[in-house]
Amino acid sequence: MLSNSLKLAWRNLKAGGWYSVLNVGGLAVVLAVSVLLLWWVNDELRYDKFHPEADRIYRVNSRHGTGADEQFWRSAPAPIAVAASKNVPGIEGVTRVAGLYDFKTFLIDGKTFSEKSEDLVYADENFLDVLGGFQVRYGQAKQPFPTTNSVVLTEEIAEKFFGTPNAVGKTITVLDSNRVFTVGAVLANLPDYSTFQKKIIFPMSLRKRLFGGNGQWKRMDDDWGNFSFSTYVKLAPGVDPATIGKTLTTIQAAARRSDGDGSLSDYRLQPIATIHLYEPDGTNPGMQQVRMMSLIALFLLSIGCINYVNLTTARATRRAREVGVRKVVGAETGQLISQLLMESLLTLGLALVLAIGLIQLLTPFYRNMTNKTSGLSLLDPQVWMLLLGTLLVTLLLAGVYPALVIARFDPLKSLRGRGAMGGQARLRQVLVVTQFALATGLIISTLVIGNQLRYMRERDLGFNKDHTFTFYADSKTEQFKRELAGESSIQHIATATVELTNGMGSTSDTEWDGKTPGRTFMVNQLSVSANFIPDMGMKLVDGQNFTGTPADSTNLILNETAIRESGITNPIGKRFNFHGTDCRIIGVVKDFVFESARNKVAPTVLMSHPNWNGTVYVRTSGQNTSQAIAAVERLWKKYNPQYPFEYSFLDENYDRLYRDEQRTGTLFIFFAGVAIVICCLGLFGLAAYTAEQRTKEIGVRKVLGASVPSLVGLLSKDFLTLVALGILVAAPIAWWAMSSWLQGFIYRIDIQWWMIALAGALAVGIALLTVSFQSIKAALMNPVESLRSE
Amino acid sequence: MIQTINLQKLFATEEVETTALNGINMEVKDGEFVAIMGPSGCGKSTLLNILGLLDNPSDGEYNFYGTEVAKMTERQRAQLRKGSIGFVFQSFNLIDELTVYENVELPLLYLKTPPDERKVRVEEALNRMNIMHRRNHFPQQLSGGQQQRTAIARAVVAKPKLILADEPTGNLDSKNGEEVMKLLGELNDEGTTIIMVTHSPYDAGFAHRTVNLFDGKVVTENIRV
Repeated sequence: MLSNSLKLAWRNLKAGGWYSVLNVGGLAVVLAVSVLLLWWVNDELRYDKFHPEADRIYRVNSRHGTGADEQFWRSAPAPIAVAASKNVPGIEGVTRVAGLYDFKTFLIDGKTFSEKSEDLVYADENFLDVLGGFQVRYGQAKQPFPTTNSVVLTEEIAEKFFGTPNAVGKTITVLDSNRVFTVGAVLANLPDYSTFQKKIIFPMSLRKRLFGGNGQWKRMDDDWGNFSFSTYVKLAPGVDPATIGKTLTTIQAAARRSDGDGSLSDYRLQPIATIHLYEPDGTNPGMQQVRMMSLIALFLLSIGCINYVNLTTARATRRAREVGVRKVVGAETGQLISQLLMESLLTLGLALVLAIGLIQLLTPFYRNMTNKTSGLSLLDPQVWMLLLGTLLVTLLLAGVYPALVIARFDPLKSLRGRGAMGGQARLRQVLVVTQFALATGLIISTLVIGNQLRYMRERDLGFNKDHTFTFYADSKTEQFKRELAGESSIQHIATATVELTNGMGSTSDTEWDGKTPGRTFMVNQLSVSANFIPDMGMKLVDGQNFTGTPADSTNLILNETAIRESGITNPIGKRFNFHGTDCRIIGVVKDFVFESARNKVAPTVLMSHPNWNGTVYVRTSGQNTSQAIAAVERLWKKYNPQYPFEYSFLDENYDRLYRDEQRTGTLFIFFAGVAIVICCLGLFGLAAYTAEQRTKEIGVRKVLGASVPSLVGLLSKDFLTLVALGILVAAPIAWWAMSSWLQGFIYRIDIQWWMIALAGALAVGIALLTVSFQSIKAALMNPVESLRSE
Repeated sequence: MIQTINLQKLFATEEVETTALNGINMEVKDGEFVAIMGPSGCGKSTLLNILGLLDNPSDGEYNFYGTEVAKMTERQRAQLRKGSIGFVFQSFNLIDELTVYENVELPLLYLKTPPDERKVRVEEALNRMNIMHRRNHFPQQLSGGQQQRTAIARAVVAKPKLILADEPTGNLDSKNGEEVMKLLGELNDEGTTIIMVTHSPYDAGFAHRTVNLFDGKVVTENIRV
């Protein structure tokens, strides 16, 4: 019986001709794309769950200020970890991770390697132990750093530096500090789904030793005001994280009394498994994206299933006679249902095989778009669970209904070949409306997202980011400035502490006349050269620029937001105490943007201390950029022969701020495109079927004198009505959904009526193209042929 | 034996009600060959469908080999139909996607006959209908006569007590029609009860008895002597 069913299913599929091609092809595309999407969703959701005790591990977030000044940080000061491990019952382990920005260049066996600072980190000696789940390939997990001069590498880096993953015991010279380190352990490459993505790990004891000097007069574990340590705690089973947060707050408050700084409001513990998708303040742009993508996967699957149901039930009329015969010779409804399900299973199985092929083809594209290193591997049992799960859901959604309908045909009616399918026409209409509602919703969303992205890219940044590249020159910035001054390809050279998008430091060390006692006012701080503001195209809205004289050491320029939020009136000439030094506000600069549109422009204080300006900004005319880069590189070789020259373009760095949104946008446009194509496939099939069903009617009408345009109109009208209904359903829902998406941005567009109108017009246009092809074909048919076919 | 008492069948649409059968009393004994004749629209096929348990009467009684079936559900009728009735249609009603062999095998599949026995019986039926050489062909590759012989093979393969034939020669030329009628005659000689609807007095001549219908009523009965 099974083999019989399969054989028959195969023959039916073959007999279906291009209906089968539409069905299988459409389903394959839908399955492939949905599976990729769901795989991405799965990847996002499993972030950091690989730590065996992830349910007991938390990151210590800190909340600062209240009301408009409220801020949430992912970090804590170093001593809180020390106190937590010593004095707080219920904590089983504490470990810290801190950024490392001073090391970049490594010398190994005479060869120089330059690594990005985002790949480097300091970590406590117990971090492998407390977090757990990292695989130690070589060396010991309990003691990855036998000495302060130990370093832990990932396999990838060990391979790159030494040509072998087993690098334990080998040495690395860090050129930036002229220190020699010995590899203490080698970790397996970190999985994509780990938030901790570091490749070269130095011991926290080194950070402790290097701490201090240069204004940092405290010891690391005594500095309660330096919130730059990501701190993780592992709680004993059953311990309430909120209670621990309160205890830590109390400890900090007690310590602060002797420390003087009162900026912290409280500590909050965030489960490690949520840190990838949820921000410390509870917002969740990551989770929003996950929901969005799950929804699109669901949309796509629904659209695919709707096509399948539509095409199958439409074609079922053709099979009515077969079903009738089977019933007459003794088939029971159950037997027919199982046969029809078998057919659906075969169709879906074929689609799945094609989908797997498609997935392989799409994997490079997927990796590129999602920035993941691994795609789907067919060796991964989870991939198979996902594939088969999707297949099963599709079978349930798309296979069961047609099987139930067809198997219940009245044998007598179906032998006569009419009336067997009466009720399904209405259902097909509902399904087409649903499908086009989904497609129109996706088009509207795409338009809104696209426009928001363009707005973010093109909005007034408050300065000119074009044709500018930056590089870090440390203490040699003045030499560069001097020697490059005569270079014709260069328009301007300015210097500042950091590249703008790289995150300037922030401080609450601010004081002014009239400040509310006890108020915490966090500001960003950036030191710039005197020519920075004019040469980078920033605008002063009040006062004057830096003078370029030693007097600048106490001159400050604040941005508009700082003035507004601090409440200082008539700021020019007013006193502003910064880092304990009394300074004077000499100017107000128009707000300039250095963060994503999701964040509001923060209050910022500009100062001018030549010693702190380690980053050089080079602006060219745009025509001779490569010449300018070559000139800078020549000079670089002269001053830093050992180091490779690294630079980046400011506009590219700005684009990077929108990487996530850009990715969402690209994915959205891609998936909306796929969804629309699949909708059209279904509509195309349905239109062909309708035209076929109405062959006789068309013949009769032509004989009676109907023109081709009137027939095309007649055949297209019904579909267009359905599409229009779909648009009516979709527009308000998409409007609402996109409005709430836009709420996540401080700087956002308004949804315009034309976006809805354009989406509607697109949907109608596409549907019209699809349907009219079939309608014209049917209308052009010779009436003799159409009448004979009955 | 099958027997109907005052069988009624009404077809109703929203606007009109048509009486297809209007008080049919009829009895068919085991081993009989009965022809049903009458002009188009007189209710022949409707009667055959009810006799074949494909449809229910609107009123009246129908006793099928000792079981009252007039009020049965489709499911119950299907159970009773299975294996006990074979159908032959004017338009053959073979399944295009199945080969000759598979078409004939179909009733046995639904009866869950074991594969070995199935093979024996299908081949027996194919030989009997002289269609064995075409066993792997599809219906559209056959002539009309061959298709109808296949349909008869399918009707007899489960060895039913009753064969219902709805104008079995209607789509065939006279030579093939003759052949089909002879086959039905042989089956009847071997003991199968046959009820056949036909327009052809010649075909009706093969039956023991002809029932004439007009406007849903039995008007005359001729018995062959």
